[in-house]
Formats: sequence, structure tokens, C-alpha cells
Amino acid sequence: MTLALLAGITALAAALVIRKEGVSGLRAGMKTSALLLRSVSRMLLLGMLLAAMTQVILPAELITRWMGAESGFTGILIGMAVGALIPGGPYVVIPLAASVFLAGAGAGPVAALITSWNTIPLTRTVMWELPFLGGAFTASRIIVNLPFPIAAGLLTPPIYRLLT
Amino acid sequence: MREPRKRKAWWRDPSLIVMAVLLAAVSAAAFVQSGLDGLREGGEGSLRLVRQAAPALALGFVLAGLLTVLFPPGVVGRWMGDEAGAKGLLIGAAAGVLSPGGPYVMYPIAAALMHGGAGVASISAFAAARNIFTANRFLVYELPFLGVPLALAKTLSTIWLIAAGTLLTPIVFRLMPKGAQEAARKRIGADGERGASE
Repeated sequence: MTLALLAGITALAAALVIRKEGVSGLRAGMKTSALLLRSVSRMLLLGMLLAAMTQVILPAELITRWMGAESGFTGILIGMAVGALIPGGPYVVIPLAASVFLAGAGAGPVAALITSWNTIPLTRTVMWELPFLGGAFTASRIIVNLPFPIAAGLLTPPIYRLLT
Repeated sequence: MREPRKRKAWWRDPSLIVMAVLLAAVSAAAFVQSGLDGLREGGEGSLRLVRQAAPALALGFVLAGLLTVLFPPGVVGRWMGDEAGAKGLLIGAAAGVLSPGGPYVMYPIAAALMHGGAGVASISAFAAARNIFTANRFLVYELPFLGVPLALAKTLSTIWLIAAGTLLTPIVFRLMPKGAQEAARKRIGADGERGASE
């Protein structure tokens, strides 16, 4: 389903590119794709290895106790802290979040983890946002975004229950 | 931004080193815990992950490349820079949702936008959308790895935060000391120029 949707969107984008810029546009797009892939391929591979290896050693009882569906607000805060501290792109964080979920974490803490990594990531903020956008903007955005992971942690479980 | 910044030698890339060290530590722990079986289990798990994600990943990278042809960052910046008000916000949010690539794409675009005169509100919309929901991340990573119910539930419960971030960030920005606001704008300008000439 996902794959068909993605393939459809990609085909549509390819058609639009050909209409706009012809075949040379398509070639330029493919070149950018290859550059993107090359720039993240090592991290992608390491990310998958790390996610799979982590799942081997994750003590399921510990995950369930601290981040399980019953862990409540504490679980959400733990997910938020992990998400803010973990470095790396989606190819690292999403497989890791999936491992933690499979090991018994609740939907709320997992959503808090991903949202925290999306909105208040420590390394990305310090390495990229601060130098490019400056202290005033970065600080404003972080202040506004601080409660977002908690909102995600509280709102996701009821919607998840509706969908399953 | 035609291509991600020049590649450094792999051993000088700090995030790669952090990942490699983490992987080594976790693998050592797996070995101590369950010996060679633990390592084998991890290897098999990795292969499963690769097989499961490879088709979506491949399509995702192709799509990301095509999107940069359809919406060159410079053009998007002009759209957002010229349009004040609600239209600038909507274009900012749409650009954030569609923007492909990692931080090396996002922050140079945002800095160029600010330098080009786009308001703090448009940048806030762009950053909020880019952080909370991007089409590429959702289709390529979240749906295949997390499964449809969790990916969908997380997205539905956070999508409104784009509006919250867009509306509240400029308000807080105006509460910052005047000097810091000016310094931020100046710094953004300087970095935008440096980014463009690289």
C-alpha cells in the first residue's frame, strides 16, 4: 500500500519534471538523488545495524517497565529525553524507535521520542540551527517546541487505540 | 544548494564516529550477553530491516532528487520572500512538508530565506512543517518501520503543532531582547551569503 502510493507519487513527480525540464531535468534529479544517497549511505547502513543490534540486547522487561503503555507520564518524559539526545537522521532514529516499540514500549513514549527528536534535538540544534539561524530565533523556537513531545505522548495512544 | 556540502574523509565525520562507537558498544554488549548467537541474531535482524525498507528507501531518494528539480530552493525562497501574510505562511509550510534531504539542505534554505527578506513568521512556518511532518520522512521511514497505525496516530496527534509552532515562534521572537533580534538577523544575513557562495 505504502509502496504503491510512494511509487505513484514518484511517477507523478517524474512526469512533471519531464514536462517542465525534459529528459535533462530527469537526469539532474537522478544526479541529486545519487548524491543524497551517497551522502547518507554509511549512516543508513550503520543505523540499521545499530537498530537490529539494539533489539538483541534491549532488556524487554526494562523497556516495558520504563516506557511501556503503563509507564504513564514518566515514560513520556523518558522518551522525550532519549529523543532529544539521540543523534542522526531518520534512518537511525525511526528504526531505533521501531525496535523500542517492538520490545514493549507504549505508543505514547515512542511518539514522544520521535517528536522530541524532530523538534528539540540537541546535536542538530547546536550544529546547524544555531549557526545558521542565530540565537534569538533558535531560542524562540525551542521555547515554543518544548511541550510538543509531551503533547505527542499524551495524544498518540488514544488515536492509536482507535486505529488498531 | 546543488549538492550537500563537500564530503569530509569518513574518519573526520563526528556523527559517523559516534554511530560507529555506539554500534561497537552495542555489539560488544550483545556478544557478552549471548555470544556469537547474539551477533548472528543482530546480523539477521539488520538484513530483515534492509530487505523491508530497501524499496521504499530507493523510491524515497529518487523522489527527493526529483523534488529539488521541481522546486529549486532559490525559487521557493523568492515565493516566500515576496509574499507577506497568510500566503507566505502557507508557502513556507508547504515548502517544509515537501523539502527533501537532511539539515544540510534545510538550514541553508532557511538562512537564505531570512536573508532574502522572508519574515520570521514564514521561516517559523517552514521550520515547524519541516520538523513536524515531511512527506518524504512519513512515506519512506515512518510508515514502513513503525507500521500504519502507529505512524498515522503519531502524525494525527502532532500535525496541529505545525500551526502552533508557526503562530507562537514569532511572538516569542519579538519578546527576545532587541539586540539579540538584530544580531540574529545580521548573523543570518552573513551566513546566508557565505552559504550561497560556497
